[in-house]
Amino acid sequence: MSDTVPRHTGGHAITTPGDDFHERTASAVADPILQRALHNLDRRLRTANESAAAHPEWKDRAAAIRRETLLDLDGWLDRLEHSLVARGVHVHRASTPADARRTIVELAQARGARTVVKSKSMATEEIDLGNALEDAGLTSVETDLGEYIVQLAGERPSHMITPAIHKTLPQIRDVLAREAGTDLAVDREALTAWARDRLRGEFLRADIGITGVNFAAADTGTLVLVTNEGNGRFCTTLPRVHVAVMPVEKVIPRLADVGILLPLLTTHATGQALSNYVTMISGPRRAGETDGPDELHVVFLDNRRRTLLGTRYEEMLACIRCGACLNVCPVYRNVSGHAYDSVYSGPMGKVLTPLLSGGTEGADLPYGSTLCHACSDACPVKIPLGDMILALRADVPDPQSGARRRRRIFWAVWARAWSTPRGYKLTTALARMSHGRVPGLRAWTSTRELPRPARESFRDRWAKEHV
Amino acid sequence: MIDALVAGLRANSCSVWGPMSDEVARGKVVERVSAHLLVACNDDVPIPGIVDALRERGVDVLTPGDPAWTERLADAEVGITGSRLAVAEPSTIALAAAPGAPRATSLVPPVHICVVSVDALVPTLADAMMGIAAGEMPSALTWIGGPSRTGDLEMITTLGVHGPRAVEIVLLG
Amino acid sequence: MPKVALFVTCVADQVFPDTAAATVRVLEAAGVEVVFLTAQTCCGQPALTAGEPAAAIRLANHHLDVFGAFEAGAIDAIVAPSGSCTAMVCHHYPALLTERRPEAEALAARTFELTQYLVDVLGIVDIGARLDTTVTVHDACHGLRNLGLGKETRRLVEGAGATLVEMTEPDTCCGFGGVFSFGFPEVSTRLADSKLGHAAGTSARYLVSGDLACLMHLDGRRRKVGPQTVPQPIHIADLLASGLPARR
Repeated sequence: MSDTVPRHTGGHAITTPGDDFHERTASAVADPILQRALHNLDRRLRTANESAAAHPEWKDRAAAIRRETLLDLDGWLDRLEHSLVARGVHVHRASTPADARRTIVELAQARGARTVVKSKSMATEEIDLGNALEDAGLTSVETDLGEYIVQLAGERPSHMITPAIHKTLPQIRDVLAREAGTDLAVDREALTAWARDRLRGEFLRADIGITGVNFAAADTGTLVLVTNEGNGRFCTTLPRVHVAVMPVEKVIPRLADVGILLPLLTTHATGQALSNYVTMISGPRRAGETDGPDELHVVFLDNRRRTLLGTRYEEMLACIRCGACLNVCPVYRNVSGHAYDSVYSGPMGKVLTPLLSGGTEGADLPYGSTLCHACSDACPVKIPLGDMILALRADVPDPQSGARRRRRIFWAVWARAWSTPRGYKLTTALARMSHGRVPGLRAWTSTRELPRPARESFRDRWAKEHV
Repeated sequence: MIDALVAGLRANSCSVWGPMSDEVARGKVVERVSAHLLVACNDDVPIPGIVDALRERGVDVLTPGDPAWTERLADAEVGITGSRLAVAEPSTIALAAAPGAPRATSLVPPVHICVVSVDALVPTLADAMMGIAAGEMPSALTWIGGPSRTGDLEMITTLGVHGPRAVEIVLLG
Repeated sequence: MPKVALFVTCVADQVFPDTAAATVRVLEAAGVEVVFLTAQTCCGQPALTAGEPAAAIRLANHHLDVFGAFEAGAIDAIVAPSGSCTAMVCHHYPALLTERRPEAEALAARTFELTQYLVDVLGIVDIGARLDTTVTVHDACHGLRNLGLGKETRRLVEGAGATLVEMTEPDTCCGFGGVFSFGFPEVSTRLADSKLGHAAGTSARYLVSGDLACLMHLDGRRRKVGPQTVPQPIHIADLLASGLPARR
């Protein structure tokens, strides 16, 4: 029915700063092809919910492991670095995305690299690495099928686990056929086979493989990578150099911890008991081995993460990027990832985007939430996402300071009036006299009827009956 | 535990044979791949005499010691590996990289056959991780639960994206 | 006889006084004495969700002054016909009122949502109401996820003899979300349509919930769209009261 909902434009003085996120959600809801593609997400929701419910006790154990890590994040990072270096791994520390980009571009240039194959990684999206490599004259190829489609389309992933969830199969065919220069059938097997052949060539000629990291164990110096397609395995097997970009919170104290964290990640991400491939890398190729990279580099990426330690948002660093909060979010499920216009979308994106940008990006994201707390419930490491989204409405500086001041004044006046019974009675009597016709209601009434205040309030009725 | 492993692997689109003796396994594997022209076989496959048996049958067998391994692997139709560790729940099998046991054998050919003894089976991933973390880690330890797959096309599973389309597990014991 | 103070909520007080009266009737039918404090206003939740905790804290302090004034033992509980307003007190007050935390926690410990009080505290699922009808339940989010409610409404509905028909995704948000319903009306409306569609799929006569805000949103959409083939949104207190014998 709501395909015909008239679109509301213009911000709302007392609710939302700016109107960008709102405008994008409105467009998304009105896009019938996107809506059709998004229905496919419901399938994942069901399977992931069912398997995630199987082991409720894992959540407590995982949450405890993640919080233990955050209590001494710097200490665990030092121990991880020590273990990695002992294994012959090169560790680079990057405090900003620019630092990380520079480190990797310089590394590639110093080795005369021309082609880079990338395995899907939110961290490399966060630092916009693909574009930095292209700007430096390298060819950078995304190798996760969904991410490859998104790269060819000139877009950004719309879901951290399923990057092309916003596209229907005919749209995907169009993107791949344009690249192929020939017609391709609207057929999953045929499209997959074409991409397999094309990307196989890229793997064979790539000089560098770039991946993210799902977990990094401080005790053994082991990087853990989770994939289903096998592209992550190619990136860490064939090229001469492997570079892993690791946001600092990916460190875990002990390799044994993945016994809990891995199944928890995959059940919440895709509903699988475990992903098809889990690769545990402890250093470069060793003497006598036939394959594997000669050089392994790990870039520790901070990007304001350590400034969250000790704040009410510290627990956001426990996030394991499973996407469960996206899959259950009623807003995400109806607007998809692009509406957020940020690397991270969904509930975790509403929290992380303003925090990682110091409030310069995504200031209006926290308002686009019904505060239903489905995200908090779904989170496998028990991050109170709903409470954080709420708190950010107050804590993120508003880009339009004038609007923020007007809002503060409005609610201050309201609070002053309603903190006394007299003020409450007076203002509600005024509302009653105006039959509820107060300004600012059009955003509601264009699609919904709004009840008027009752002729007699309950308190007046009670007073009459209990003289 | 064996039943759980077999059920889990099958549910994840693997073929599972056995448990069976070395002797029977040798015959089965030879039979299975005899129609293929080129088969890559790691040195750690725990079936004695498997390479000779394949060659006797006229199969061209590529082994990691072959100087042309890297170039020829791309043409291999089947990759055969061993494994010394398997987990019942979630069902998955670990391959440790080592001299004679390259990472690519289980990745590049379209069919992967993995031979593992039921003695290598532990109940849970947590059990396996406790054991592994106590010992020396290989440069790469790869856990495989089934054929390469993606859900990126409208969330419907498609097999054989980059890695093998088919994974066949031979249980010894 | 248990004695409770009615935490009426500003929405019930000003817009849905019949529901507030029904709440009193239901509580009395369960053998509870109800008192009403006329100094109460609003719990402050609208300001909190708008991003103005300072304004919310001012209201929260007032609410605490009013309901915290009872002598120990003077009342057994504070009961609200709203999971959301109850969650404001129980879930948010202790964190907001840092300087009065022990008082806030004590208030939270004796504040209950209506169905929670009847079923979980009093252990009553049959208040004497008789309903010969079919009902589907919308789990309002704050009651469900901040207070852990769900079974209570269903047990009361069945305790009154009504037939319960579950809808698809009864626990998915209706799209109201307070300020969200003004700031993001398109998504908000889309979610209402999904909820109404799921409810219609049950062919139940009533769509029952424990939060007036959700119901106002759903009924507002239902009336705007028409024709009215979807179940009638109704508060659990109104539904139960409609099945009680007429008052003498």
